[in-house]
Amino acid sequence: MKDHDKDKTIAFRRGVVVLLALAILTAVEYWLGISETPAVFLWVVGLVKAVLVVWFFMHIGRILETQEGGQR
Amino acid sequence: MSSRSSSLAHRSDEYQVGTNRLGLWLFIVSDSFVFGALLITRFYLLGDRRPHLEQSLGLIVTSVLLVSSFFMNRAETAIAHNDRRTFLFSTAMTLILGVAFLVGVIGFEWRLAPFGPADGAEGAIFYMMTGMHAFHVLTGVLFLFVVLRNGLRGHYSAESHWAVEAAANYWHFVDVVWIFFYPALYLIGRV
Amino acid sequence: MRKVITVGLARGIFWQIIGTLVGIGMVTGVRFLMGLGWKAEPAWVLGAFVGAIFFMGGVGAVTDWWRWVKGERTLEVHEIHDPSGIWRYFGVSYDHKVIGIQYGVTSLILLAIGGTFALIFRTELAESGLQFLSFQEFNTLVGLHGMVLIISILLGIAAIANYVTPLLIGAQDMAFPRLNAFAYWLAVPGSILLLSAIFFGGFETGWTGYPPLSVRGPLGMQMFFAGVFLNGWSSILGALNLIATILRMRTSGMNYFRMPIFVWSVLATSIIALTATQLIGLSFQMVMFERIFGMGFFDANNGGDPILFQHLFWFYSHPAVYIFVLPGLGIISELLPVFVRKPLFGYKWVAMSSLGIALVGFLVWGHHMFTSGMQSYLRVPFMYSTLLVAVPTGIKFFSWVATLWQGRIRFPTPMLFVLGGIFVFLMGGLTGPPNGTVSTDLHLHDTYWVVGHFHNTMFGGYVFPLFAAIYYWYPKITGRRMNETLGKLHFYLMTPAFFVMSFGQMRVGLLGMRRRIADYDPALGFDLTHLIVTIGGFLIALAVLIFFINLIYSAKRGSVAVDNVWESRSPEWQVPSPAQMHNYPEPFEVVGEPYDYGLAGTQYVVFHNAEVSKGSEGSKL
Repeated sequence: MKDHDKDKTIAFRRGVVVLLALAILTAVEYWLGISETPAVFLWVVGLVKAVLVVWFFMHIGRILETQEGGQR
Repeated sequence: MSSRSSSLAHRSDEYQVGTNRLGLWLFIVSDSFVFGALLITRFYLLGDRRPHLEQSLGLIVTSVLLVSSFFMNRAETAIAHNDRRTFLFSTAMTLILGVAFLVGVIGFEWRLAPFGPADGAEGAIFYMMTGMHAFHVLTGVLFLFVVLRNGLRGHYSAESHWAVEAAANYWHFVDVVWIFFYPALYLIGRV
Repeated sequence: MRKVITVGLARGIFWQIIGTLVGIGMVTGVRFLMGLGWKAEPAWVLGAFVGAIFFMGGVGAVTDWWRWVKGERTLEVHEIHDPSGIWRYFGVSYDHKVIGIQYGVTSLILLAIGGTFALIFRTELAESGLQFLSFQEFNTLVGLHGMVLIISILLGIAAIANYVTPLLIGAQDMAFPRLNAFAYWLAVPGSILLLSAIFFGGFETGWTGYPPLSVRGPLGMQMFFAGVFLNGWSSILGALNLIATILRMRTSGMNYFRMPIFVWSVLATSIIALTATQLIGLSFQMVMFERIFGMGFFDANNGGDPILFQHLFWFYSHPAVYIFVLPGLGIISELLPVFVRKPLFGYKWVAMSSLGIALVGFLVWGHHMFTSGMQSYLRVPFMYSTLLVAVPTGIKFFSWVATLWQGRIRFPTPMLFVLGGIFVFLMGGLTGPPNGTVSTDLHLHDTYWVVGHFHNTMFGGYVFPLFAAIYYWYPKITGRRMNETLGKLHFYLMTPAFFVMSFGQMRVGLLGMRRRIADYDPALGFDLTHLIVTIGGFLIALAVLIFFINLIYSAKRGSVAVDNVWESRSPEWQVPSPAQMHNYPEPFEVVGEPYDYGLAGTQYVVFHNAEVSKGSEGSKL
């Protein structure tokens, strides 16, 4: 049971860290935007944010988890 | 007969959830072609220009959506660990923030924008992109409402919560779309 | 009579009518509250979509999902046993075989309707001068001929893929049976809306719906867009289901390179349909919004650009032709070894060539726009990518020829259609590069040459293989064979008639005949060729009529064929026909290569329970 709680705390903490990263990146993005830097930087920041969400929130790795094909 | 046919039929529930997951991802891939095409439309027609929009409002709704994604993730993590209270609270938060986002975009941004849908390419693109995205947010909100309602009646558990996972993944997808739409509409190019 | 009312289809249409009225009422009500008067276009458009949603509810395609929303449990699909008899085909069923038949019948009905449209305007074209159609009617018929047959092809592919794929990979059903039923039923209101365009003033753009003309046309344009939009979603969801089924539901031992080759082509097709279809949906939606809300996407006076529409449209509509032909080419590769009694030559290359065509197909759309006024530096890259398609397609031809080489060929009707398909598709392939090369296309664009080329690819890549597949799998569906004499008559009438028609089209095209034109100058001297083309068209129609008669006749009177009629190694023929509910009474295992015909001591599938596999003679062959 202890392990279970520990897992949960780690998972929750991971969510907070990702949120902080997203918040910082958004702030950076806004600053880049209003100071009219080349668009490519904005795309890079957007891409990083998207990867964070897709990886940590959408758990894209999970589709590879359950083995494909084969009868159980 | 029944035992034989059941051996044929059943792959485990876990396997079925894996198939569902793949199905949802395929849907997301498909849907992202719509949003990709809208981005292409935006750059094809407007290029280096961008519509004149309320910057502070854009930043607020973007933050609201990001925070909602955080709560969505928290809700899913909670139910995966059988933490029902956190699950319900976080789902409700996500729902409220989703509605807040809709109010921000439809209720304020659409009113404040100095152009209508028929006013040139800016108008067409702005209303199409935000409208299409808002439609997806709306369906996500409805989905979350269903999850919250069934959650309140005690439906989900750590072992079986595919509906929560699906709602969460869909919600995050809508968030990812906005991650690209926000700079494309508010930040890239000159007014 | 009571039975009719309880039938899903009847309820669906009833609710569609109600829904249409509700939609019209909503728009009119809101406009009234805003102090505006009656306006037909937004009312009918919303009516069309609300009607479609009501149809889905009325027919019962969302009943189970609604229960899930309410938190109730529903029966597992394998626990459901459909009533037998004809009525189950008129309502929602989750059985992939029933859905396959539903798709197939709908597709054939649309084939007959779309073909009839062609006969009508072909008759008009048989002679110069306007005989009995107005320009508006002619244009509507041409446009509907195109789009109705495109929908028919999409549904026909879905029919074969739905019926056969789970059988071939040893699955009990599709991955998402409810979604499967939903995808099929969505096509019904979609097709009704598409056909209803005739009654809303028609449309003049042809099947491509290019703005600015489509922005100005009558209300029929909107019905056309709405119908295509719904059918597009049907296609997307069907493709999603097929991909998930192929990736996740294969029986044990069936790794990717032991899948029947047809399954590979379905996978490749589904990848295109899943992704690219969104763009035709979006581009049509944008024109709809331009018409209703005045959004200026494609109006150059309002900041838009009509070329953008062509980019979005062809990003789907070029890959779409690969959606149409890939399953057909897969059927050719699937059936050829059975009738040649030899292994399929270069299995892996054929499998990969399907994926290759699908992927290259995403990069070639610009070859439809060489004359459109798009940036001229785009022309050469698109020309090269277009010609690149010949490589994977060529692989398939080499494989077929090498498979035929020194085979002990049998010639029942399905094999005739396979061979016919190869020849016709070869003609389609050879007439393609002149259209893909910029210098020649500038002359050929929008002429009847393109029409001839296109009909060769569609007949060779879809129509002939479709008929082959129907003649081949008919015994699996009904337990009876189709009549061989009528089948051969069908083939030997349709094939020459088709060549007469399409070569005639190419001839007038090279001489300068424009497509989508109701009338032409008699001084050009096209009259005789056009007359011959029209006669060819009618002969094709006669052949297809013979096919329809055969289809219905053989269901009751055909010779009984319970066993492995074609001596195939494929798993579906190892169990008695007609295929039973939930496919196989027991899972089978794949132990060998699928197409090792004529190689002693090889086996493809093994049923562990010997008494199940009555027709298992085939596996020893």
